[in-house]
Amino acid sequence: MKLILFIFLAVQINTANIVTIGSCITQIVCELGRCNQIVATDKQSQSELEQPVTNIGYWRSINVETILQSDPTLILASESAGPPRSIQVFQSTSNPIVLIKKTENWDDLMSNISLIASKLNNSSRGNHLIETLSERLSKLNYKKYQDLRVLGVYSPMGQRIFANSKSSAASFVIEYIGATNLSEFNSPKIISKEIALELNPDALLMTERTAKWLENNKFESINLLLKKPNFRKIKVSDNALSEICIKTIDSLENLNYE
Amino acid sequence: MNKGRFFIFILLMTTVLLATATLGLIVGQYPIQVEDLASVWSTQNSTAKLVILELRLPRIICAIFIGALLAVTGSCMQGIFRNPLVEPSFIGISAGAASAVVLFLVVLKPILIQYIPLNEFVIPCVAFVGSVVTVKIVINLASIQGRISIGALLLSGIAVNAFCGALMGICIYFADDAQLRSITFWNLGSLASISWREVYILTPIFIGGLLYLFLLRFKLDIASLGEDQAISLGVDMQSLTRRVVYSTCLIVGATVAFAGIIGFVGLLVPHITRFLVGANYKFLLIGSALIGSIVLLSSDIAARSFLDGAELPLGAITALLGAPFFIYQISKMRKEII
Repeated sequence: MKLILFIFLAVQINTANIVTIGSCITQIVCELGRCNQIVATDKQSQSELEQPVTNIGYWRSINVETILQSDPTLILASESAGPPRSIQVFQSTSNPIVLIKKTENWDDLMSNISLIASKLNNSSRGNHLIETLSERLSKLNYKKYQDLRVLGVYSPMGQRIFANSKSSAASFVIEYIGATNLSEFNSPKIISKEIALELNPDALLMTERTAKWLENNKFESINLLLKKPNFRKIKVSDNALSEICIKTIDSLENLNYE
Repeated sequence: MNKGRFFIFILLMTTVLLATATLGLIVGQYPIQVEDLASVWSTQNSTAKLVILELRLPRIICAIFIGALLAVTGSCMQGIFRNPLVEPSFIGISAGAASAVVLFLVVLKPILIQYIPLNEFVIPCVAFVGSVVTVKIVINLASIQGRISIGALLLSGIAVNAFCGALMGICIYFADDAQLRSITFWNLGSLASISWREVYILTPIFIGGLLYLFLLRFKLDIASLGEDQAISLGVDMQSLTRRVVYSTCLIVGATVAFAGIIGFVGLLVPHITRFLVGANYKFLLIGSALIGSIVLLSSDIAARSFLDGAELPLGAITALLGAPFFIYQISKMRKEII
């Protein structure tokens, strides 16, 4: 009888319709082997999946009706997801929504993995993932970056170039590798020529998407820096800097500068 | 227009409004069948019930309320200023409300939240205070020896709109990602966050606002003849202007508080209505309320249905409809002058 119940529950869990809101949550669900159960996700998370699923819009302005259309059995949402009214709708109904804290350091990441794994009834795999990631982090070594003064930059649409804020994932990465983080901004700042000259970084940390925008040489403030001798660009994969997550570790392992 | 023809017009517009509202209940990202609609109270499909009763119905009611209020205030403003290109946002009401909210979100909220708990009523209150303060400034600037100069009022409105725009620009520069999302909402308008709570708050404003402006219809008819003639017929133009402007401020401030800036409804609808029912304010105000509701409701249905999985800002849709009309009006005025 117990065996039948166990099989029934296992089938129930394996046929879950998961909706993820937030790219880090999507990364974790995929690492826990439940990528194929994601039926809808936000626009930014689509690139985490091999096959596109229903797009529920930008993660800060999700569409409730699109999520309901996916008939979700579990909604894993970043606590910063919005608008608040949409989250309240799910909280006030029987739709099972779990709010996940934004990851600001490795401890947050590990506890989120643990929470998501428990909600997916797969704590053992979650513990294994935490062990693996901790081991990978312990092997990282960044001596060559220690004398560098680094500024994290990004360009969302290639129109303007911003310096990351001091509380961003980029700032965390810069400090983690032992370099000097030049960002003292509370929020992202457009980099003007004067700001570029004043900060005078030795290197810029950016995603590959931003690096592509820089190749067009359209940002004069950045062109000023690129002309400096021995100036470096540290590139990481897309989504590695949107939040501190598994892809951030992947990028740290392959970190290199040119 | 005689009463018989106006009755037919009311009947026709009410039918169109009800048909649009029904369409609004059916159309959307979540598929709703007509059967679900017919048996919404007894349906076993709890998701359909949630979508109809908690998501779409309050939104439709608010679209009707806000559309009617914006159109009626637009009609009154055009009458009082005798200018066909005027709408509530021209004297800074909407921009004042929105810039106050943006300033609050970016500067004050991060500080205040450390000391006092802020509930969901704070932002609508800030929007309302912002609109009142802005209009007070505009009226003070436009008052010359106790009389409101209409030309000065419009110029003050332009100056205050520019100032509010600049203030919002500065706030956007300092805003983080989450704050930027809120600012977009306030600048472009949306009914996505509407719930029954907003319906309950807007109901007395809707009823009270429309009744109050409807009571002013005779004076507005006289005022539209021109300031000198209105004064000679015993209408206190200063008092009437103040009453219309402040009541508009209260009404539009409340709508901005819940739906952000929704432009052009107050400009577009009075013209359409005047074309259909004439310039008599008795017919114009009722007609504007009905057509305003239909226009905003249709725009909202379009905003939430065009994109797959996401929503377009409502203010962008109304601007797309209104801006060409605005250009048409200007070119028409040019031809008349030539």
